[in-house]
Amino acid sequence: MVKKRIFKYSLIMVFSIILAFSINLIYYFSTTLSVQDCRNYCLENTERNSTYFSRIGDGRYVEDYAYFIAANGDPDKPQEIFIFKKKFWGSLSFDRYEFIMSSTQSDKNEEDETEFGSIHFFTRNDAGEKETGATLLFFGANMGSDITEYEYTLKVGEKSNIYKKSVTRGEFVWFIKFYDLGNADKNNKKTVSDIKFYDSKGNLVGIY
Amino acid sequence: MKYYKKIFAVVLAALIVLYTPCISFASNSKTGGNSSEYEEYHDQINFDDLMLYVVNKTDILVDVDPTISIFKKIGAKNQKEKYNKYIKEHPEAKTEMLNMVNDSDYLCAISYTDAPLLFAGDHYERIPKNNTANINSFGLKAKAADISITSDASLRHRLTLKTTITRRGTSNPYTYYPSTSGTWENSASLFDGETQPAGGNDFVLQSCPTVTSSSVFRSTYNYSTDGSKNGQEGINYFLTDGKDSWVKYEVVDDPVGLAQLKTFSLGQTFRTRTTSSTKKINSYYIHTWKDMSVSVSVSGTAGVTGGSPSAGVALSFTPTIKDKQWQLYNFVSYNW
Repeated sequence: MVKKRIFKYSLIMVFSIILAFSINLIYYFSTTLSVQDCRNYCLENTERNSTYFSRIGDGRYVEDYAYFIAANGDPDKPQEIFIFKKKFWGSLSFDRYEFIMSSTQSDKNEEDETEFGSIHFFTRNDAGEKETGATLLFFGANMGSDITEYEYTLKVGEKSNIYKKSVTRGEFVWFIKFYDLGNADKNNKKTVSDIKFYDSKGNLVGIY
Repeated sequence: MKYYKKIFAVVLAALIVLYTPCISFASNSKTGGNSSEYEEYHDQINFDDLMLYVVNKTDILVDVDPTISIFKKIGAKNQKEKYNKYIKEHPEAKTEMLNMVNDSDYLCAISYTDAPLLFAGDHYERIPKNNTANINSFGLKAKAADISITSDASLRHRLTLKTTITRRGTSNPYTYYPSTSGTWENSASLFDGETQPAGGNDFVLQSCPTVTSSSVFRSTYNYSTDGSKNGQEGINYFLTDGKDSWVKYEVVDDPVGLAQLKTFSLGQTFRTRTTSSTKKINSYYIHTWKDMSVSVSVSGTAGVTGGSPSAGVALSFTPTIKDKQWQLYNFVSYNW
């Protein structure tokens, strides 16, 4: 009699756990987006009327973030980016994402010849904790923009150096990422400043 | 029927067990709750569950982080409302926060206490609670017998004592930078300043829950003092007391003279472990218009550098004069 009761309750417990996991998994899939869903989300919410978004990965050893940059669209509108964060189910990712933010600045005015967009923000790590170091992104479509190189001053504590690098080019878009800013160690601060953008002929076309 | 009830109970228990780790409410500050006898408003905004980001270097945006749990989102929404209220009341703070993000400073929390004041001829008075006459734009009331009531907008003022916490570091324990600042809104104009006697120096104090490694002070004035509107160490402000986790700075303030204090800021640095319970940083401003000194009593001990913080270190004061001075207190609670 006792054995039968133990068996019955064990069965209910196992069933309950399976049910809870199933509900959790359904919730996970219903609240996250596949890569194609992310792209569709961009197309539905674009302010630049872009018909194509290039995906650029995080660039770090764990690709936690996915950046979708407008590759075309209205050239009179600002450059556009949508940022998604990979969401894990336990330790499994299933390559699913959730929307974080997009560039939502107002229309580019006549005086503003800026050919790049930027976002300065703080990411979260795998455990969901906000990271102390800041991330600074620059991005744009190749269409109507000929930015090929950039120069910046990197300062760590009192030491500063000037660097010149080529931009990262994706499919029809370009992208620059600085991370862990403000966060060199307990005594020193890491910053980037005097960021300059050059076209393929070496002309200065933008300053941040 | 009984069988189904049991199944339901077990399923419910399993769901609770499974979801318990997700149910971790953010520890948020509570509005008000001070025991001051004067009118004041206190609030705190925690940014850990908010997204704070800058678009195109010029637009700062604050939103609930969509990646946090549904339970944390409830608390985060409340923090966002507090932020909106803070910015509405202190529009200049938006630029300050914009600069912080552009400088890649990680903002943990902002706590502030607003104190409405009246300019009473040659000094500022705080406004007592439980008053009857409606007097100013802050919607506050004062007893006509206590303070000369005026409808002159130039005589109405507000002092904001604010503490901002930023942190640096790649892992726990982090280095924290609490900065307490005071801002006089609508400071008095120059009332024959050069012929008025100078007011006594004011005092700014801050105590931390962990031993601090350094402190820094700055002050600015409405008019040039010794060729600059920026206060100078040894001339306009002085470190006059302190122990391992607290400091007392004395700062020149002459409300009707040249040295009309406009802003001040006091920062310390400490390194401590993040814990699951909140600890306080206490900030105090003592304003006077007569020369006096202040002795400090300390309760509580500070945690060691890199270890867990203490419950907090509280300060109490004994001024050498009983009248012609008042105090303003602000605190910030955080999971150090």
